[in-house]
Amino acid sequence: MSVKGFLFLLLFPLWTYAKTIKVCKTCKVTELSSAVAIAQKGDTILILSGVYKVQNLIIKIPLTIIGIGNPTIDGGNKGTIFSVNADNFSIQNLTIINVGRSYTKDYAALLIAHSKHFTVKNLILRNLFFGILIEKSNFGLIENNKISSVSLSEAGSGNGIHMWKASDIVIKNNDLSGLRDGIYLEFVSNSTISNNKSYQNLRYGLHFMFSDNNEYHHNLFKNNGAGVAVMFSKKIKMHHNTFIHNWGSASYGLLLKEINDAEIINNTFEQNTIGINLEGSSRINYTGNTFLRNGWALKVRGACYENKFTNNNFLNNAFDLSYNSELNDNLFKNNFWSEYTGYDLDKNGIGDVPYRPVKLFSYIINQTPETIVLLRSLFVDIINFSEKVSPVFTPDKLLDESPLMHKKL
Amino acid sequence: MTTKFILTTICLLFLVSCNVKPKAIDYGKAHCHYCEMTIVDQNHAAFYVTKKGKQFNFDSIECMINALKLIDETTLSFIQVAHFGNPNQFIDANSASFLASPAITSPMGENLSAFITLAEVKKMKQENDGDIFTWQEIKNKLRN
Repeated sequence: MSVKGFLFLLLFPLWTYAKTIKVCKTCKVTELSSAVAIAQKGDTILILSGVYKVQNLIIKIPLTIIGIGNPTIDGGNKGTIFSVNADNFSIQNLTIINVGRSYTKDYAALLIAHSKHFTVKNLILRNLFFGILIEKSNFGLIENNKISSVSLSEAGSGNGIHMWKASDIVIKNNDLSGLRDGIYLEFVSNSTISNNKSYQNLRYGLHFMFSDNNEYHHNLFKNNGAGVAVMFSKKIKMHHNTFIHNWGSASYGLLLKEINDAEIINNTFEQNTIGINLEGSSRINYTGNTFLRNGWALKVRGACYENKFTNNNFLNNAFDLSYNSELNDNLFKNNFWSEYTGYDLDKNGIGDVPYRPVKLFSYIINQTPETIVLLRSLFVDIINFSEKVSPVFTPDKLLDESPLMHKKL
Repeated sequence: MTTKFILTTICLLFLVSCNVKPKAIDYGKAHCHYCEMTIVDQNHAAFYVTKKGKQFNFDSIECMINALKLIDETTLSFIQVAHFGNPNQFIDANSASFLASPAITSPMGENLSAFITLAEVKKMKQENDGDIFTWQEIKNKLRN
């Protein structure tokens, strides 16, 4: 039998069972809603270029919706646009604009609830309240979407990708800006967030709440109200991310609150007011991170135990570390500190005298933030130096016994 | 005459500056005193003001209740919560009615929203399901 014949036989069932419905202004079906109304399980709807008005279109059967020639779906600023409650759903190559806003309801461009195995790909979402809202759903892929809004006013903004009670979701290569939180996860597990760009969002680039066993890597968080907040979650892996330009009176690259057993590896924190702000976070490995030109590289605010900081670079931060307790149960070892002034006589690459990363002045600032104006004064240099020589206020054991002489690459 | 005028003005100025009044929350910039999150949700925000006039803002009612555990409430002059569905309107927590409903999610997971009248909260309960609490009841519930 010829190859063609074989292929024909192989694909024959597809032609008979799943049909394709075309939607365009000159087609038999001119509106998306009528196409969904006549569609059977597993059908494909092709939308040709044009502008289509859609309001709260409810989809309850497995469908594939694909745009050809970049059609635009206009919600007319009235509520949710697509509301999906079906397994094996896929939506691709569309521009969706004008989601309604509300103070009490979470309107979204695309709501996926109680669904399994969905794909959301190559969408452009603009002028939004919420972008993609996922509730009680599993096994999804959200890829290559560009989600943006203008959240100048605080309350009229929603999250780009908002997930609530979901698991096994992959979010990659998305571009998120001008939203409240770029990506928000609440009660989400076993999900991976990678290679996304989240910038100029009002609150956080990425936000975890009560979400265990997740991973995020190779993302860029830039110019957000604060970079990433990880709160009340366990076993989060964070690696190869960049946190950059999160400036503000209490802004930070990464906020950790009640986080246990996490890994923070090979990330870059550059020019943030606070690189990492930790509170109530224990048993975390910090390895291979670079802290460059931050106000505070690390701000430790109590109840943080058994954290290990090894092989990190601390470069030109105003403060490498700030502590508010006199107790220390965290390990600092083999880090490179740009302010280290010790020597290495045996030339093994490790400084012969320990480095004390906490300056006395950082305690004073914790008590009275206004004293920051004295940061570069001679007096402050003198008290820092005297504390370095004979520590009285800073925890005695809070030191890096073996600081590196050269920057880790 | 002029000295008298200046004196009264100065006295009045002192009176004005000592007035303890709640300030509007700067949404998108203000941080929650308890959980550090930036406050953006106008439906669930809360704050208290001490008798000395210092205001502490919270992103959710549950955060404020957690913070109140640590202080003496008699040192406060205002405890107010956002009136759900009415942005920028704050109501006294003591006289408010609260609804805990999974259908209305709040920033810190307890799903609490506040209303003025009982009729209002009952209507929301009908639409969204959930449990109704008074201020005292919800504080006791979250304290255990």
